[in-house]
Order: sequence, then structure tokens, then C-alpha cells
Amino acid sequence: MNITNSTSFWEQGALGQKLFLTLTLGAIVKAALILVTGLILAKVLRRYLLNLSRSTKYVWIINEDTTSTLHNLIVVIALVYTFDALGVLPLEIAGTSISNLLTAFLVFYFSYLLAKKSKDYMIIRSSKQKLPEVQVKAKLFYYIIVTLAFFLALNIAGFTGRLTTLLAAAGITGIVLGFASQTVVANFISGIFMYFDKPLKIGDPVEVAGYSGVVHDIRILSTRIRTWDGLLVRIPNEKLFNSEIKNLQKYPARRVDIVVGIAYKEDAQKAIDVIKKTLDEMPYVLAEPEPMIFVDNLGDNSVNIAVRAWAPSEKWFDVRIEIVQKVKKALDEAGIEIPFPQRVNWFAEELRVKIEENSKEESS
Amino acid sequence: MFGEHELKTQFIKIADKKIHLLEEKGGIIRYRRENVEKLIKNSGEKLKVLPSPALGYGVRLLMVKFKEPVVIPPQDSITGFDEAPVEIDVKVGDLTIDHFIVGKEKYALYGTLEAGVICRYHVSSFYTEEPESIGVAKLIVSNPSPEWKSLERVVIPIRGTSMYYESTKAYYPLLVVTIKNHNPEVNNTGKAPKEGLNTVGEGLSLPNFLMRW
Repeated sequence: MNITNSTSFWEQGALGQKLFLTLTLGAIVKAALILVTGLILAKVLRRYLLNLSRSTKYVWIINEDTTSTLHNLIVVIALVYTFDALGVLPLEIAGTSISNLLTAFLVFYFSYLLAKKSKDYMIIRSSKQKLPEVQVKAKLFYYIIVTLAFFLALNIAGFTGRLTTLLAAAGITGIVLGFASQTVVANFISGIFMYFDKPLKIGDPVEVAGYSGVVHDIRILSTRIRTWDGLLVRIPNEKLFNSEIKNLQKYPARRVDIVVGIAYKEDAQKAIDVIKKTLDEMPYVLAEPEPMIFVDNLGDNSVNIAVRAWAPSEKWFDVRIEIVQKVKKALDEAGIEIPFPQRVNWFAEELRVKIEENSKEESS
Repeated sequence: MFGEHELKTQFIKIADKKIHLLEEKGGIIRYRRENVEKLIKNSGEKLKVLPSPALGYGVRLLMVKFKEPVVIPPQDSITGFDEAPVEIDVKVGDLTIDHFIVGKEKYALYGTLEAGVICRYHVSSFYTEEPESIGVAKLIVSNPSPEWKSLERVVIPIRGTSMYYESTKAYYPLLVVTIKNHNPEVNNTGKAPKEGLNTVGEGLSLPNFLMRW
């Protein structure tokens, strides 16, 4: 029977000499080599990437933050393997060494940091017009990196061989969880449909599910709306998908509708001309489509004139406020009365008014 | 009016607006226009009053509607001018310290309510000689088709355009309008409409704009 006793290069000759407990000279040399190589690699890579960040247009991924994260990752992994070489981390859990588990965790954690910082950079650097599109791309990038890092970490930890077992277990768990998480899945699927349907995008002013405000964020499971009075409303995507969505800025122009009442004694045509002139002097009231001003109906207390003017969608609210104020001012200046509700009472029998003598005496 | 002005006490009048420069102690110049005030350290640099395209609140097109539509015979062309709105950039060195609109500001929707675009709006006659307004655009309207054509308005791409000026007037670059088939195509050539003008910008041509509506 031929038994071969294989010893590694680090345990041969003088390197195999024990210095302290089980610590050999070879282990110390190996650990030092790993540490030095790791540090040099980290420094060289950092210097290279920093230089590159000054000239590259891909600054969202190659920048000081991500370079520093990558540098720290290499240094920490080098430290883990250094301790492993020194035999400080000899324990094994679930058939894999602690050093591998630690490395896997660190790779996942730093990849997560890298993806998050790149995502933030992408969003910060984008122009306002491209922001919604960039936000979606940044999130997609983030999820891809995190997913890849997860599988890479599994590989490093040595769980790859057991991946099929994991997947099978995940399948069974999935069925169980599926029933329990119907709503989550429905929200997720609705989120995907919403992405393609695009009824709204980040920054759009909307009225949806009884709330009115600006779309603040569209996430995988929910959409967040900042209401006009500054509250955060989280609407599950499933509910949003099934709701009627009123997008207030989907089209380039939006109409302002107001009704102005003038007294019956006033000349309606004169009032229309005054309003027309006022609108013509307002920059954001669009010249085309032309504003419409007409007598809409004869009300109880006033002749009601309808004003329908178009404005750029993003200026709608300003125009709405301005029109009301300026039309009131213009009508006042033209001496056209805007009446308040009034009622004339007729009495079937003549009313008698009694003037008390006491009041005369008191006043004298 | 347009051009360079020394940083000393003086009034600069631009159309309906007035800039007031006031020398103060310590070589400081107070810049004042309506409610805008700036303090400028005088370093011998001059104040530049330059024309800029009428982008208003951030549009990219200018629609000039003709008071009288222009009718062009087949395979013929006509050269003329129209009044055009301009805005004013006030600069020290390369820094813009003030920007304002002169004259009437108005906008219109070009196209349909679903797919149109908001553009700056101006009504002008079609002149055969240069009009007296502060802003002028020179147009060459050509009709290469075998039919008579009518042009009621012109939509000009103005975002990123260069501008030209002389002391009292600002000019958009030469515009060439070609009425192909039924849709006029507008080319902002980026070239000076006449000789002897000062330039703002690089004088580059902008992509043609096809007037579909």
C-alpha cells in the first residue's frame, strides 16, 4: 500500500518550522505575502481608477466613492485570507470555511455598496428632463448587480454545488409562500405592467386613488405620491394599476375654466372684450388654441360669462390664479359690476314701520 | 445699446427696459434693472449687453405668424424679413449676471393637443425691407414644387442658435424655408443675415424643422 503524504510548499523545509503552537514560518510568510499583495493591488487599482475618474464619461460608476469602496473590499478580503493563512479561522460551518463565508459576505456587502453608490450617482448627475428614465435605469442596474453579487457570494462560500438543492427547496417554499404573498406578487406584476404602460412617470402631477399630488417614486411594489400639502402616500401598484389615473401634465397644454358673473345691467359684449384684452396681455395664456369667452347662461343673480383659456400644462396653476385676479381687476377698472347674490322680497300686504319715540329722546 | 459698455455711472436703454450703472466707493459698481440689483467689482472688464434667442420659460421653437399670408409661385422664391422677439443677456466676462425679456411675451401650442409643442409666439408682417423692430429675422422662402403655395406662419428652431447684432438691432441667423410637398421645412442656417454684424455663439446650423401641422 502506497501512502503519499502530500505537504504544501509552505510546509516544506525551513518554512515548515513551528514558531508558536501550530504557527509555522511558512504560514507567516504566506500571510504576509497575501496581505502585501492585497494592499499593493488595492492601492494600484485605486490610483488607476482615480486617474480614470477624472477623464471618463462613465463617472457614475468610476468615481471617488466607488473607487474607495473597491479599495476597502480588496483590503478587507486580503485581511480575511491573511488570518486564514495564519490558521486563525480554521473552523468550518456547513462544509465551508469561515474565511470563505466571510469573503462571500464581504463581496456581497461591498457589491451592494458599489451598486447603491453608482445608482445614487446616476440619479444625482442626470438632468431634470431625463430624471424619470435615469431613475428606472439606475434601479435596474442596482438590482442586477445585487442579484449577481448574491450568486457570486454563494459561489465563493462554496454553496454552488448545492444550488440545485437550494432551488428545489426554494420551489417548495415558493409554493407555500406563493399563497401567503399573493398581494406582493400582484403588486410586483402590476409594477412591471405599469412600467410598460407608462400611465405616469416620476415628477408627473396626478390624481389617483382619491389622492392628488406629484409622483415621487415608482418602486417594485408601490408608487409614492407627495400630495400637494406635503404628505407621503404609498399606493400599492396593484391598486394603482386598477385605478383611474388622471395625469395632469401628460399633454403639453391644459385648459383653465372659470365663470365670471356680471350684473344684468352691464353690457355683456363690453365685459367679453375687457376679458379678452386681459387674457391677451397674459404671457402664459396661449394665443393658440385661442381662448373662448362667451355668455354661458343667465343665472339667478348674474349673467354668467364662461372663460376657457389654454395654458402650458406646467404653468396651469399659475395661470388659473392669475386669470381670476386679473379679470376681477380689469372688470373693476372698466366699471363692470360683479354682483353678489341678492334677493328682492315682495310682500302681499303693505308693511307698517313703527318708529319708537324713545330712540328720539335718547339721541337728544 | 447692444455691445460692450464701460463699468461707470450711466444708463443703458434697451427697448422698454433700462439698466442703471452706479459707481460706488471701493471700485464697486451697482447694477440695477427694475428689481434686479448686483454689485460688480470693477476690474477694467466691460459689461456686455447681448441678444439671446426668445426661449422664454424654456421652449425650443419660435412661431412667427404672418399678419398677411405669403403666396409664392411655383419654382420661385421670395426673400423678406419679419419682426422677431429677442431676449437680453447681460454678461461680465463669460458670466451672465442678468437675463430679461423685452417686448411682449406670448406662447402658443404648435400641433395637436396630444402631441403638440409649446413655442414662443409672435405676430408680424412679412416685410420686403428690414423692419424697425429690435429683433429681426431674415427669411428666404422657396417653393420648388410645381404648385402655388401659401405660407401663414413659420416655426423656427431657436434653442442653441447663434445670434447677430449691431448697435440697435438683434438678428436671428438667416432662415431658409423650403415648401416641399405640403410641409414647409425650416432651416436655421446659423449664418449672418448680412455683413458687418457681431456674433454671439458659434454660427452653426441647427437641424431642420419640418412643419407637420
